[in-house]
Amino acid sequence: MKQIIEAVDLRKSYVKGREEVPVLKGINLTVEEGEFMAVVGPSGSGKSTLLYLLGALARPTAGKVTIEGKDITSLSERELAQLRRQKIGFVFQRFNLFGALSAYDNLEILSDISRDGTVNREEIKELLAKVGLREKLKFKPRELSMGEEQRLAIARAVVRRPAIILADEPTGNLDWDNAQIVLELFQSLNEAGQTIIMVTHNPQAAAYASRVLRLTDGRLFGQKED
Amino acid sequence: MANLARSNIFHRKARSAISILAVGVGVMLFLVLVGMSEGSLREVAERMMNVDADLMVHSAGWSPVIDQSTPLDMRYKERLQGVPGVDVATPVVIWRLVILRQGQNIFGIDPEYFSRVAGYRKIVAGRELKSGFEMVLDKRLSDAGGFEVGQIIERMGHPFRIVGIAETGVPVRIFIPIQTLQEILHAEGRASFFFIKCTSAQVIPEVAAEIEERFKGLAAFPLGNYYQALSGSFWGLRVFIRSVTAVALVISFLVILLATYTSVLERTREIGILKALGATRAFILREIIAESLAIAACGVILGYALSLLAKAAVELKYPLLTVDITWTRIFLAAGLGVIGGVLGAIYPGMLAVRKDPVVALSYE
Ligand SMILES: Nc1ncnc2c1ncn2[C@@H]1O[C@H](COP(=O)(O)OP(=O)(O)O)[C@@H](O)[C@H]1O
Ligand SMILES: [Mg+2]
Repeated sequence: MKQIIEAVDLRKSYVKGREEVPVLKGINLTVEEGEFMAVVGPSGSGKSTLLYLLGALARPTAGKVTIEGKDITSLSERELAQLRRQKIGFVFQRFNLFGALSAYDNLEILSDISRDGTVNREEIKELLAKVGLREKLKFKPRELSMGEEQRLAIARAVVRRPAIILADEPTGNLDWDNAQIVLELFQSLNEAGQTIIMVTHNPQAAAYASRVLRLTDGRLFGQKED
Repeated sequence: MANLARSNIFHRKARSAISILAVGVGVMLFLVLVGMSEGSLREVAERMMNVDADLMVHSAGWSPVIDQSTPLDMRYKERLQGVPGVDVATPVVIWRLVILRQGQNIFGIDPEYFSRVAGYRKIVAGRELKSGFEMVLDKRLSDAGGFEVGQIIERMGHPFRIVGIAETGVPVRIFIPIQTLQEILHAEGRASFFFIKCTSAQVIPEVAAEIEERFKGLAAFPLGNYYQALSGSFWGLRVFIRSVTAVALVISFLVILLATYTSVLERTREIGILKALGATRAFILREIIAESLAIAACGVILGYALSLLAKAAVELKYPLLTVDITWTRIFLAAGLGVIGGVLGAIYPGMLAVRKDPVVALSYE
C-alpha cells in the first residue's frame, strides 16, 4: 500500500507564561492510502494538536510531517494554503460552517477559494443528497440539526476529493444516533477509498475505524491491529 | 458564486446596520459641522457682495469686516464723487445689535440709496426707509423672529417701527436711516465707510489707486474680495473652522475605523475557517475589504441623507445659520468613509490572516 502521511519524531510544546509545556513528545506515525485510522485519548492529551500538525494548520516545535512523500514542515504560507486546498479535508467538532451561507453555498465557496473549478454544481448536489441534505440546499446552518450540520461539514471536507480527511471529534457534539450516521458515512467514504484520520475520546466511535491508536502522555501507542 | 461578503452583510443585519449607521454619522458629522461654519461665513460674505458697489472706502487701518466705529467725515462724499471714474459714493454707519440672541450688523444708510445698497432686492412687505426711528429688516430675520410691518421694537433705548421687509440677500439684516443712527451714537456728520460705484468695471483698480493717492489715510477695498477678507481677517474664526474640520475629520475617521475594526475582529474565527479550507491571505483580505467597502459605501450614502436632514433641522431651528454642503466636501466625505472603512478592515484583517489557523479558530 502507498504511504500517504508520515510523522517523524513530531513534537509540539505550548508556551504558558514562562514555561514551555510539551504536549506531543515525539510522535511517529505512518498512514497508508485507504486507511481509516482513529486516535483515542482523554481530553487534553493532545489529539487536536496532533491533527492540526498533520493537516498543516499549525507548525510543529520539532520533527516533520510528510504528505505523499513531501515534507510540509518547511513550506511557505502560500504553499501551505495550496496543500490545504488540494490534499486535506477537515471536519471539526464545532462544524465551523459559514453561518451566513446556505448549505449549498457552504460547498460552493470552495470553488472561489480554489479558483480551479474543481467543484461543480452537479457534484455538490449529488454529494449533499448523499449526506441526506437533498431537500435542504438553501438552509442556513442554524436551520439544520446538529447531525445535519456535521454531515454538511463532512460533505464540504470531501467535495474537493482530498487525499486525506482529518476529523477532530466529529461526533463530540452529537447524540449517539446522529454519531452513528456520521460514522457510517465515514465508513462508506472509506470503502470508496478515502483515507481518514479521526481523533476522538469515544472508544465506541473509534470502533468504526480499521486501526486505533492511543495517545497518552504525548506519545502514540498501537491498540489493536486487524 | 457564493458571495461571502454580501451574505455576511445580510446575515448579520444588526451588526451591519450599526456599522453603516456609524459610518453615516461620521460622514454627517463632518459634512454638517464644516458646512455650518463655512456656510454661515459664505452667506454673510455673499450678501455683502450683492451690494451694487465696487469699492468700500474706509480709514486705513479700519477693518471693513470687523470694525464698528465712525472715523470718517461725511463730507468725503463730495470729494470722493469728484474722483474721475466714481459714479456714486454713499456713506454707511455700521453698528451691532443683538436680535434673537444673536449679534447682527446693522447699517445706517442714506434712504435715497437704499435700493442700491440692497442690491435691488425687492421690498416684499411695507416700504423702503424714509427717516426717523424706522427699520427695514430682511426676510430671513423677520421670518425667524416673526416680525411684521408696523410692529414697534425697542432697541438702543428707542422704539423703532418696522416699515419694510426686504427680500433675503441684502447685505445686513437691519437697516435704519443714517441720520437716526448718527444721532443715537452721537456721531453727527460721521460715517464708518463709503460704498463707491464706479462708472465701469475696468476703471475700478485705477479709481482705487487714485482714491488712496488723493486722500492719504483712506483705503479703497474692492468689494469682490470681501469673502477672502472675511475668512482671512477673523484669525480666530479661521482657526475655529480649521479645528472643526480637523476634529470632524478625525472623529468621523475614528468612528468609521472602529466600526469596521470590531466587525472584522468578530470574524477572526471565520477567517480561521477560511484558512483551514486553504484560502490564501489575498483571498481573505479581498473578502474583508469587499465587505467593508460595501458597508462604507452604504454608510456614506446614509451619511448624505442624514446630512440633508441635519441641514434642514439646523436651518429650521436656527434660521440665521446656513449649512453649505458642497461637492468638494461631498467627495471628501466619501473618501473619508471609504478610506476609514478599508483601513479599519485591513488592520485587524492583516492580524487575523497572519495568525495560525488554529489560533484564529479558537477565537471566541
Ligand atoms: N494554543 C494553545 N496554547 C496553549 N496551550 C494549548 C493550546 N492548544 C492546546 N493547548 C494545550 O495543549 C493540551 C492538548 O490540547 P488538545 O490538543 O486540544 O487536546 P485534546 O484535543 O486531546 O483535548 C491541553 O493541555 C491544552 O490546554
Ligand atoms: Mg480536541
